[in-house]
Amino acid sequence: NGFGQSKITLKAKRAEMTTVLQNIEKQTQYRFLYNSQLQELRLRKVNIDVNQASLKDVLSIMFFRTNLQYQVMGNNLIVIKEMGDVRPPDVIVKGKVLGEGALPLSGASVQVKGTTLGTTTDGNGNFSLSVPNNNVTLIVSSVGYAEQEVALGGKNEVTVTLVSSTKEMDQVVVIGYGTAQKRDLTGSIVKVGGEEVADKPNVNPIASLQGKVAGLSVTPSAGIGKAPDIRIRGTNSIGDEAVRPVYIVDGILNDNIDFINPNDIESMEILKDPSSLAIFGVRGAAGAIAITTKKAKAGQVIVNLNSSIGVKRLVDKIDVLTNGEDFKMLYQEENNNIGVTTPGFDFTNWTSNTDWIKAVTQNGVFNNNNLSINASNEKNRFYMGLGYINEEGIVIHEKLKKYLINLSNEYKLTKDIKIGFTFNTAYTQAPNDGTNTLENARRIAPNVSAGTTPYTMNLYGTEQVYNLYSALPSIQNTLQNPLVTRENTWDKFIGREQRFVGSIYGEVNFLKDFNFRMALYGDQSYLESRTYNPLYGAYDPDAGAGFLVNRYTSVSQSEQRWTKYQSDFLLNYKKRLGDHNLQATAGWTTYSRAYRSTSGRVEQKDGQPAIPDDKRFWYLNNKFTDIANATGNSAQTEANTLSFLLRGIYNFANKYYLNATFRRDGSSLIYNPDQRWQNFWAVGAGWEISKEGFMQDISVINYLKLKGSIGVLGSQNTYGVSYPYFPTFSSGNTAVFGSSVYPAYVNDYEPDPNLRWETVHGREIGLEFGLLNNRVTGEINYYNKLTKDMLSFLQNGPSRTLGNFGSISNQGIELSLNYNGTLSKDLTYTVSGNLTSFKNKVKKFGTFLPAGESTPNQTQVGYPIGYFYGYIVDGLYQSYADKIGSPIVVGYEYGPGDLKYRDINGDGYINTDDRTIIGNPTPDFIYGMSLSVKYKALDFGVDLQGSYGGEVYRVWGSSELPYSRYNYPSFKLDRWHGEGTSNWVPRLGDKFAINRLPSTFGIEDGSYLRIRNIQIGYNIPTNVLTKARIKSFRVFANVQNLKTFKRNSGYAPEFGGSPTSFGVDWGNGPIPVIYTGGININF
Amino acid sequence: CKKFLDKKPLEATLDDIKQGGLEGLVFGLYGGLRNPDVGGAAWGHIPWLAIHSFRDDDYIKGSSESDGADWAVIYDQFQYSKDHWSTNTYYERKYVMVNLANTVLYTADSLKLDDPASRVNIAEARFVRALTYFDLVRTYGEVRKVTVPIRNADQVNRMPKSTVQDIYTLIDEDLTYAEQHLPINWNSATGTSLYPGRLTMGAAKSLHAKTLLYRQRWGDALTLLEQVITSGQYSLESNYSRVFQTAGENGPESIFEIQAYKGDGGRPDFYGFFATAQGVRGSDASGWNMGWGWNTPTVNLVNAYEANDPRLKRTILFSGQSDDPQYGGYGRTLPAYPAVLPRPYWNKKVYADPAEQARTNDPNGNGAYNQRIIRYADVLLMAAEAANEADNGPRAETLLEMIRARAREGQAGVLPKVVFVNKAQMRTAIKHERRIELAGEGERFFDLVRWGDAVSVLGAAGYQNRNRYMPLPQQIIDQSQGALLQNPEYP
Repeated sequence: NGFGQSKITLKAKRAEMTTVLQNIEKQTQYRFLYNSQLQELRLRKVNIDVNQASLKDVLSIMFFRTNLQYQVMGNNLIVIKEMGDVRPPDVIVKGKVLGEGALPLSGASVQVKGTTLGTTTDGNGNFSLSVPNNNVTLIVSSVGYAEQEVALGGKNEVTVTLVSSTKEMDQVVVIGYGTAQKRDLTGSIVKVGGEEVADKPNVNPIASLQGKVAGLSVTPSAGIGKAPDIRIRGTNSIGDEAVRPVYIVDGILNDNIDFINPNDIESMEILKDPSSLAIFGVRGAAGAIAITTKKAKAGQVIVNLNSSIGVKRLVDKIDVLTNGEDFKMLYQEENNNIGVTTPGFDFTNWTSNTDWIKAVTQNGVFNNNNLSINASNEKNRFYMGLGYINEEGIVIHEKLKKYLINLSNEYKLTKDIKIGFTFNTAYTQAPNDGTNTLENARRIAPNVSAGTTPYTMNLYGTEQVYNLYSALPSIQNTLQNPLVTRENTWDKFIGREQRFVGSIYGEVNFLKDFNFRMALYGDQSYLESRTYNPLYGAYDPDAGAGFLVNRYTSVSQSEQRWTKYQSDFLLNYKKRLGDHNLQATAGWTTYSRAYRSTSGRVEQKDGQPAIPDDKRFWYLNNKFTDIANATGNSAQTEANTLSFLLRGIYNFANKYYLNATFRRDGSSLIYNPDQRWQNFWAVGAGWEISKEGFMQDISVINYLKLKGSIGVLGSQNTYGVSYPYFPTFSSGNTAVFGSSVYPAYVNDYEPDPNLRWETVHGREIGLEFGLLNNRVTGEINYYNKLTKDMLSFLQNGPSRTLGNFGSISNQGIELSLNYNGTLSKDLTYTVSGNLTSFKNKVKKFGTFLPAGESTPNQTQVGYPIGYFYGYIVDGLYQSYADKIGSPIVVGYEYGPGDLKYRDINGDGYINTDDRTIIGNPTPDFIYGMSLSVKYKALDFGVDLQGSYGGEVYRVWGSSELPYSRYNYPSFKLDRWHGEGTSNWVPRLGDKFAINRLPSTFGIEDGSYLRIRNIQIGYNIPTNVLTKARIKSFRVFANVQNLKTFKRNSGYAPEFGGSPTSFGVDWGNGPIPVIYTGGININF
Repeated sequence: CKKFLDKKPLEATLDDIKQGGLEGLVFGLYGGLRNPDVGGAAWGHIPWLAIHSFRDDDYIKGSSESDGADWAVIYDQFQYSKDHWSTNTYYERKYVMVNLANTVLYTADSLKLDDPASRVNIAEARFVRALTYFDLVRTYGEVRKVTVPIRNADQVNRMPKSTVQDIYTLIDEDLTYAEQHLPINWNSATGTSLYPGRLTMGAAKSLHAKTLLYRQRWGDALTLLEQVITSGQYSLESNYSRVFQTAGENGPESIFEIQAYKGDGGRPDFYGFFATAQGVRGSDASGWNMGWGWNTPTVNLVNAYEANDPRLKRTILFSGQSDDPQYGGYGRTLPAYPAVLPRPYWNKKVYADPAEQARTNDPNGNGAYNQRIIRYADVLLMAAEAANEADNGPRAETLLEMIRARAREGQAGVLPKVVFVNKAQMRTAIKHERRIELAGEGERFFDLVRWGDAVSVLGAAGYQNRNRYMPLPQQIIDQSQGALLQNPEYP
């Protein structure tokens, strides 16, 4: 591409061939590779006089009547060879070049260091090159891979495995409705190779990117199979949907990627800046993640088997009492403190020492198996991937199964026309959610036994012995033994999701420079769930008897269906006119989505027989209950978007770059025709300084590009409302008079008739560089995003209006650095790191979201979103004298042992005016570091990842509002219980509400450093394998989350949530360590 | 292209539904009073119980000691909070009701509706607005006077508060209109009510009289109350227990009660939390998990009854004893205190009928319970009080005797007739009778405050004069950015 378009003007008489070639190199982006020993090249002089001629023409003039021929490589290399090389070579070196996944790499260039000798690999990755002797060093390179030097050391045969390039400017990246060379772009796009996620024990591939990409924050979600919380460059809105990036999987826009097998991913691109995102219009504001799935590589048949198995273990358990005597002591002390005069609870029948967290957790198995088949010839490219993932959670009985298929085929009808399809399907068996089990376990007194007691009961019509788990003591009567619920209900749930995502497309090249592409995409997802609520009992040690906990059986059944359709019609134009290079795209695209659900429930009534505990009857019409008494419901929504887009990517002499994008979106969600259409745009510019003459002498700098962009992006956030212009209404106001019902409805909110999409006005300026022979590469960017017209509900007493009411600014710096080092010919290493800083501020907000009774997140103008608001604790009142000598607390009963808040305004009273900012859940910066070392066939990698400067608010043990007596965190053993016994942990007593106010007592340092991944791999040497017809065989082992160095007392230091309430530790969210081992074989 | 983008919801919007015009909106007010998600949290939920009942000397927070221990500090011990779910919710939901009522009035006004039926609807809305402001003014004192529908936040954010006098002026105007336009009853030609529980002229006059008592306007109050008495629409139930039972809902003694309803098997379900919040708090194991157990009577109340007053056993359930079928029970025995139940006494006025629980499939509560807001006994006692204060002792004596006669259930020597001696003696007798007759119905605290007795009766629990009003919720103060001033007694 592009070859033949470079226009060359030359005038030379009897010039040496090599001089002419050098001259051409100066005028174009091409470099020539040749053996300087070539007789013709050395001796022949040429006469040439061309004006605006194509390179092809120039070369044919030069090589006319010579035995020279040339071959154009993908990376702007032109290799010149002799046609029938008559001169015997000095030494012939044969070799093979392998790329990603140890697959043969075709089209890689091989060059002898210090010479212009070189060649390229064939379709099977093989090459053969004559060299002066076999002690030379070869330089092997290919698009998208790091250049590698290989010293022959006397050998005549070598195998070279290339690793993906860290020289990012040479990558081809997905840019939304097309691809481009990263060099040509003015924005910030980070490409991550599929191998980064393939071997990692995460069902959701994005989870594997934590700490890997500057600007990308990944917060894991509790529970298995759930997508992590993703933010690109900070929190730009208060709406859940508005902060989630858009995913583009092989062209189709989506809001999740649950159907993708991590092993089928070829690459992922993270698009961050306005210039890259404007093409997504109303979907672009929160950033984009483009995923390309694997397609067949040219000219080969490869079968790949990848399998790994491992185990998950709970680490960093939160510390609560596990000793019954301790609980008894604290319980009694609390009673004394709050003045309970009645006799305390009798613990005679409650004598266990149960570690409740241990009782509800397990070591989970992670197993991942994949098989892929790659088959292609000149006309047809076929890929099939099959996957099976089996993941167990760390909560007992948590189990997820997922089956995945990925199919694609592309067929070349003629030289200019190709058609193809992609198809992905995923079948998921979801677990019965165990999140609450873990949260409840923390609250149960250790005195309660986790064991069972046999007891005869008549549940389903016959007497039978049941092993009953213990009920809870009456002092915990608002809680439920998590084992009672979990053990009796975990297998009474069926959740199956079947998803099909596919596309068909056709592409035609015409009029030399034009290309038209049409693609139709569909995404269908079906979710079926059925829940059976069985009869079950518990054993009450005080009564010495079992009793029925759940008295009636019931069945719930629901079916949900999501449908998404997209169509793209794109015209591309690519032209090179002298130094002017232009790539333009114009087109239109439509997007439709629909959701349908039906659900119902039948219940056993008093006096009717129970629905038996048999899967046969887990349906609404099971004939055990009267279908006439079933409750039923449905929900359904539809929305369409129609868009026009226009993009130009231009550069002058590969030195000055200009990108411009425009998109116009019409959305059915905006019903008002005057507001319906909204325009989005971006302009970016770049300057490759290293191409300038004055930089040529600075040999340290190989690559330097200054870039910047500005634009307006949209956010199709509806704040959870399906039709923003048409409020739903509730019938809760229905009146009854006697037994007559008179429906009365009110709108759930007032819509603003001028409602429009919120926009993000983004700016970026950055520098990309490559130093020291491109051993050091990196990028530094400053981003600044201002969200305007933020959509939100104004909740103010009685009124609730949905409108454009706010503005939020986000800014920060992103830095990424890479270093490729070589210690010896066998030992190479790469060190890389990245860092992103955040500064968030709410600029305008029609209302404010106040801190709650137990959570301090507050969103208010002038402060970071969701910051922590509360009192500053200066210690505890040690005595009544201390209390009397201190400012007066208004509105609370307090005394010695209670938290002493600071009188911030110095007015002698502690009241609500003394609250202040006590923390910010948004960190100052997050960072990641990686080291990978390669020694011969052995490779080793460590990834670190961390966060600095954010706070966490611990609700448990501080602000949690107990409805009965909960188990105590272990740190309560250090509570105040008399003058001088503590100056931090207040006295026990639910009654002393003063100690539950959001304050610095609950604030903990959220900074942490995690050993995210350690991976070791070994490629079994090829010569061993060849006999077994195996192309490559790799074994590897991986440890994820080996250790988190954190300073807070929760399971983990990261807590997601909503954009306005996050960083809050409710005593959940463990991040298990996962040990896996696996193999990867290519046949 | 236009067709592709014109998408309306695949379900009805209010535009698609003919709600019955103004009347449909008015029905929404009745639903709003009940629905815990609309206004009901301020009418029958725990915040209501805390503000109307925990604060008196006869009822406490209840439940187990540790459950909601902070509520005990705030309401039993008068350490009022500026930021607690109870006060935040109570205040906010009151204004939700104000807004719903204002929406009705605005609609009527903008459509210039002035036919008789519309005037009835306007009267209903004005009653609800007055009822709401009456609770706001007696709970918080000075509050915002909002009389138009709120369409955006700035409208209300910048609004300062009004004086107590101004709020009462609005209440007077609203109730005067309601008295003039509400029907005397909703009976059909055959004499059965078409809308049991719907607002009447009697309800408006009774409420208005109550607000006048709070301002010591005895004569005005007495006039209205005598009109209610002579209207012939109301009479005392012969059995005190029946007033509070399912069978007695919308009975002859009912003047206004918030309607809740559950069909057979629990559907349809238009529930309230008034009874469920107060049901006996046992466990599933004991079979007495009948509610959340808030608002329990104290020994102080038990001791306040005159000897053999049958109302004691009709008002209070005793742990460890029979529910006493002779006194409105159903023949079950409560588990013992403190071994199983966390309190010795429970509110029997909300005690669930097992048959009703079974019918409505509501084993752990009594969501179909109608919360009684004004009943005829209250009217008679208010009239007695007003007559006595207006120097008509004999009339007071007669009215008081009507209450005592019903209460003594024909037993000689029980609850002897109180003969008028002097104003002070009669006043003491009426205060006592109100306390006993209306126990647990949310009147006592406000009565103590208006009588000037609160400091002497509640002082030991921590009550000070400033506690007659609660501080405004801090969130509302913060949102106003200086426009709304906190009650200065709560710095």
